[in-house]
Amino acid sequence: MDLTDTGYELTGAGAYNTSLASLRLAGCRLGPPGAAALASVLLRQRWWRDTGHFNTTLTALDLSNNRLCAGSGGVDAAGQPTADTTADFRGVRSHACSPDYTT
Amino acid sequence: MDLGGNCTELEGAEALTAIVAPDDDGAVHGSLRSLNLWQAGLGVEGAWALTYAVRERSHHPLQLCGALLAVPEGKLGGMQLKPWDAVLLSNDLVLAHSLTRLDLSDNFVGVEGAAAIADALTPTAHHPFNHTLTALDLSGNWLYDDSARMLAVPLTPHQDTGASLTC
Repeated sequence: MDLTDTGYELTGAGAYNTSLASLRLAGCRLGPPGAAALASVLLRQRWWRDTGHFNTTLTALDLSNNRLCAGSGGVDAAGQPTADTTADFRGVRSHACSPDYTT
Repeated sequence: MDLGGNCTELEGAEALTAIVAPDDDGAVHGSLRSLNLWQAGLGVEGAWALTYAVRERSHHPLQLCGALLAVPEGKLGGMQLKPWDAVLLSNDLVLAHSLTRLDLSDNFVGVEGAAAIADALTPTAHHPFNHTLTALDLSGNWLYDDSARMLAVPLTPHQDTGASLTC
């Protein structure tokens, strides 16, 4: 088997998908938990800086037209990154929380 | 072999598994390299059964959606894609070494389909994964929060890469 073609050689401690730069999940009915899960991928760039294990590939994440409440996943009600995540949550667009979101 | 558009469901999937899976001695039957089950209505369980069987014969890769991923720019938006189609497509995604963009927007991928796509993108020691895709569009699929968590897995550095997302 040609390992170059399978990606096997990329596995190991700290491994992650190093090709995906853009992920669009617009209009997918995501709520704050889903946004937070995706945001953590980016936020770890800062929290895990000293470990050497962080995603440096993802540069565009589209979460527009979902059901994100203000502040979830690092964005405010106007769809802008909150102050402490501006540097990390790049490329994110979000609409304000729609009133029907409940968990 | 083109069985696209049929409704084979689980019994059909089991029959197909017997064709594509290696026997007890590890031998693979025939020379089949491409099987088109796009919109064949296998159901999620049947699609996973077939996908697992195909993974067992990793030395002889087999496409399960024919040449579907050969469409320009991977544009498969609005094609009535169901969860089981996405499961089969995840098998082909691993084999698509030159595919850089995949547009699955406005389909019906569902949580199961999103899990399969995420699995195909996750580095693991157990099976190959796609490491050429740079852009993935799943907009308009009503995926909910569980799918977002699954899609975060391949993007997150892990100490243990043995985890699998498969249902």
